[in-house]
Amino acid sequence: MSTLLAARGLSLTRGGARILDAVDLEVGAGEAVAIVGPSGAGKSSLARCLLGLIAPSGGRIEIDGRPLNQLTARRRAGYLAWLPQLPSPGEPIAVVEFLAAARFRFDEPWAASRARALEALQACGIGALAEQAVDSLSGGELQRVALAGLMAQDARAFVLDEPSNHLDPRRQRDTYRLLAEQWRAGRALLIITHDVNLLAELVAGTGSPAPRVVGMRAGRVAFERRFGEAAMAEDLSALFGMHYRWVEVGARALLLPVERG
Amino acid sequence: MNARAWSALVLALAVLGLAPWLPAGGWDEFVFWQLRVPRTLMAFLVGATMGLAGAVYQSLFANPLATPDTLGTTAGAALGALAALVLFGQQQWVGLPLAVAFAFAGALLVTAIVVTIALHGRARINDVLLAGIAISLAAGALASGLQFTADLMSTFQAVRWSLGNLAQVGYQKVLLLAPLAAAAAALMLRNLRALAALAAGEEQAHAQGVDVRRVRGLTLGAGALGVGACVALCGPIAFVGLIVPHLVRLALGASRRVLLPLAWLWGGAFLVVCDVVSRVVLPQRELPVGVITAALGAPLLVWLIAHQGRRRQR
Repeated sequence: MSTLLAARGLSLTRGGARILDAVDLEVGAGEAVAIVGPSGAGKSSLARCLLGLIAPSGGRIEIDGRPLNQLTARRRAGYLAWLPQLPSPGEPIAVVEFLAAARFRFDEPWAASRARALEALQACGIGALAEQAVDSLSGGELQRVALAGLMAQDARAFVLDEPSNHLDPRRQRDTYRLLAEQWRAGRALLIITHDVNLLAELVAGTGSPAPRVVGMRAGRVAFERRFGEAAMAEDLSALFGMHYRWVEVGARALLLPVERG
Repeated sequence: MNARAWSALVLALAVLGLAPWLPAGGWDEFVFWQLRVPRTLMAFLVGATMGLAGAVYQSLFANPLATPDTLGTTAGAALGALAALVLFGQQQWVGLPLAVAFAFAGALLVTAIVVTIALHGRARINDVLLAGIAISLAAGALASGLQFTADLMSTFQAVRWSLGNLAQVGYQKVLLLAPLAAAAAALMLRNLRALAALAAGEEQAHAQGVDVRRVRGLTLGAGALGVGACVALCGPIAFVGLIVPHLVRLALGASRRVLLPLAWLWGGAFLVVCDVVSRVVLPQRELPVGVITAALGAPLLVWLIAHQGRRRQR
């Protein structure tokens, strides 16, 4: 598997505080990687550095073997699409128009962008929302529209910051199943999440290898494991300062924080 | 009614601006061709430039209260015009009052400072907005100081200039403004797809492949060029850039592909209508058009706010 995205010795300092400290991370083409860690661990800052939204204080970022800053904005958008924590367009723009704009990187007529946007909406099962105004959507609908936007952008990797935030449990599951489809179709995923158990949805009912989980604490990489490895319970316990245990629920093993004893 | 029908309606309104003065030979013909036509053309160009710049700035700043004056363009022009009136009185330069050249230079200079801040790596778009407000206030303070030291005539002329004025417009001013307004509109509309992506926020647009800093610089610079030329030639004309984009948004939604071209068209039509009102509202005399745009614009804005409030409650 060739490396699609790499951070090497990445550091970030803001106002004297060290937010990222010599972080090394690689995401292969078509690989799924989850970043977990307590709030303030530097997860979102790492994603924002990888996307070129923040200039790191030190280290290198490479996309497909080339330094990030040597790529044009359009080329970078062909590699990485981003789902921020709170997508919030506050204007009465039709959903399909909003998504057509996500195809900025393509040199194509507006009608073609609109057609691809419609396809993305239908693939996400929300074709009915096409003509609705984005500022009238519920939080859950907005999150799914934002995901459809990533599909419309058609980048090789999705960087997702808490993709199941603001969603009810069923929508969380549906979101991860949608991401699983994208993963199986060959896209790489870099998911920032607090809920590792949702990662099970990525591999549910398939023979896919489990996604890799990277734990972060205080701006450093604390551990790297395959999701499902027994030692992850200890890793997460150390990471969050709580006691985690694997619990069998039906055919599925879940990691749950429990009281000691 | 679709976008085309709305456009046809507003164009018809703009043409109607000419109708009461159809030529009947002699003096009437002179008035029509030498006064009304250039004046109507000027009103359309100024209104269209202000409307488009307003829509572009509101899109760029993601702020419904942004106007073409936000970057200090008007304040810079006012300072320039006042400086020329105080220092050189009514002197001319290539057939134009020196105040026009100074106002244009003032508008561009002040905007250049704000655009420089906008292009700075870490400046967030709200920082640019704040810088524009701060620099507007500073230019306003300088203008007040200058006015305090000026003689009565210069002060009077500066006040008249600040009311906005489409009277005494000949073809020369139209020909001066037309290429600048066309270049400004073309540059702003050329970035339409990037502005459409920016509706999702600057960071998301960046991730979608938009070179945000470049778009900021180009659109703000183009807007300043057009607005600076309008303000220099006709004085500040309030409310067009604020009101017109909101009218389009309310009637047809905020899709940038509709909003931006129609803000240009409707802005032109709105100012033509306001200019007609300013000519006929008082018998035997004209009101400055800035008074009419503000008098029509302010209640419209209040109505819009109330209407949007009701829409959100539903």
